[in-house]
Amino acid sequence: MSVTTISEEEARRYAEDVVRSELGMFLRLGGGEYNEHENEYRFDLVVRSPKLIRSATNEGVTDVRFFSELDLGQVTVDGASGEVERPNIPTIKAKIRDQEEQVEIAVRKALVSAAGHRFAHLPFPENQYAPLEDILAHVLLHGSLSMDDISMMDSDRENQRYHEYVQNLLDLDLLSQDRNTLTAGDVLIGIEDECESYQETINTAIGRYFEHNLGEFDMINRTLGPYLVIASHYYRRALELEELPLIDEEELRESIVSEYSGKERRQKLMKFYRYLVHLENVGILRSVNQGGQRLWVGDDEVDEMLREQTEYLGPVQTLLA
Amino acid sequence: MPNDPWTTRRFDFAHLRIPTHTQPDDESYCVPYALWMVVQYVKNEHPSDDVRSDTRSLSVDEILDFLDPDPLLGWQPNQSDLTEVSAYVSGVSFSLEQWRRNPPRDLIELAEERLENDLPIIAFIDAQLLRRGIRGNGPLHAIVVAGLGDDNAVIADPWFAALHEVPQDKLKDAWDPSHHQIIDVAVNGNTSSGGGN
Repeated sequence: MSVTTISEEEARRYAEDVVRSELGMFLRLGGGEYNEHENEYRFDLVVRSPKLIRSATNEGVTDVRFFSELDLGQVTVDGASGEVERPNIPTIKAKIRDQEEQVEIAVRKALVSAAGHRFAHLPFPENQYAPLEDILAHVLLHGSLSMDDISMMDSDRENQRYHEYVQNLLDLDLLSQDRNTLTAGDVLIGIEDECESYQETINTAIGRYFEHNLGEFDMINRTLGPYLVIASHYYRRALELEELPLIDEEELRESIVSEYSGKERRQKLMKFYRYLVHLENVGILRSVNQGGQRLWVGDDEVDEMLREQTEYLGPVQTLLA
Repeated sequence: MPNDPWTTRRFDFAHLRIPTHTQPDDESYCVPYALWMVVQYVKNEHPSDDVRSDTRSLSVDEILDFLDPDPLLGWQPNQSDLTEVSAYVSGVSFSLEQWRRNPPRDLIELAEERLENDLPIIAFIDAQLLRRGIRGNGPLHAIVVAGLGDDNAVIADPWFAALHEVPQDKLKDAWDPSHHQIIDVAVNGNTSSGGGN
């Protein structure tokens, strides 16, 4: 039978010493409990990571905010020997990085939800997003699309992708299905009535798709790629600073550097200025010349709609002001 | 003629002329920046000519090389890193002190003792408690205490570009709740520290 020789207070001190000297000064111990069966004390290991909010000009820090408390596992102290065990550093760091990533994802989702209709007007090349255009154009111009035509079109993998898009468009009433035949749904008919060209109809429908299909966020994130990276970097800064700041072009370029690596980074950097031109063209960012320097500013309406996306931004509000 | 390291230019009470620097991006660089500010103060402002001339300048990058703080976890406080920095700068020595149980003096009393000898103190504080008044597991952060008035203190906070006035009660309350750690500053081998345990 094991004998407890150390008190909870002592155990906490042992655990705190290990956390401070082996992990780092950002980490703290939360609540603790004694497990009689194992004869050990267990303390929650937590962190509230600080986040510096830089001024729009990057010349200083305007505020510091704190992530919500993150559970990093438990530190255990043997009730007899006082031996301390803690989670390993790679596991701890992965959890902290994941928390930071969740904030970025929340902002991107909120931005797509707020400005999907503008993103949809970006001039995308033939890519993952093209099937949506294929399906919508077919239905709009030909009047209907047979599911058999999709099934016989290409490889199983490609067909599967088209079928997934069809299902999403059906869910949004952009398409309607009668047995094997797809036609324009009520929502698409309504959009067509309001638009003056097929391209505008398709873009508006795809915007609706972006705004409502955030369950498919990974795909949307990949599709919008560098456009969303640059735009979300800007609007996250706008949320943090509670205004539409004038941001240096170099800072926007850095967002590409942070997101991509290797060959992909070089490719995206080569296309960086084109991305800016396109983002300006669809009204997501706007260039401003100030003292001979080109700076970038966001759009009031996008910013306003973004701030209304509490479903996504609510959980990370403490960081965003 | 000796330097006067004290000024009342910005606040109602005197404080040491600590140069301020903001750590640009990385939240975990507070200790290196706090050390850098103190080395610069001693090198440029300390009243003793001998102390100033004995002190070797170093860049914040050199301090970062000695301390190597983790961007996500912060620095792991240890004397060995500080000894390396002290050996490099020669005229100033830094020692990590802590009072694990109840400290015999509060942070303000410790700072007062050092300031009487024209030296600042680097204190670890619960950043969330100091900045937001929220009690509960905030990250520890290093600040330099540069002066004390009747009720307020002047601190150099590496997260911000200027000296700040904060209520002494708030500073005392936010002092490292578990370890009560400070980095003590001594010049030419003479420390005003009462030492920790």
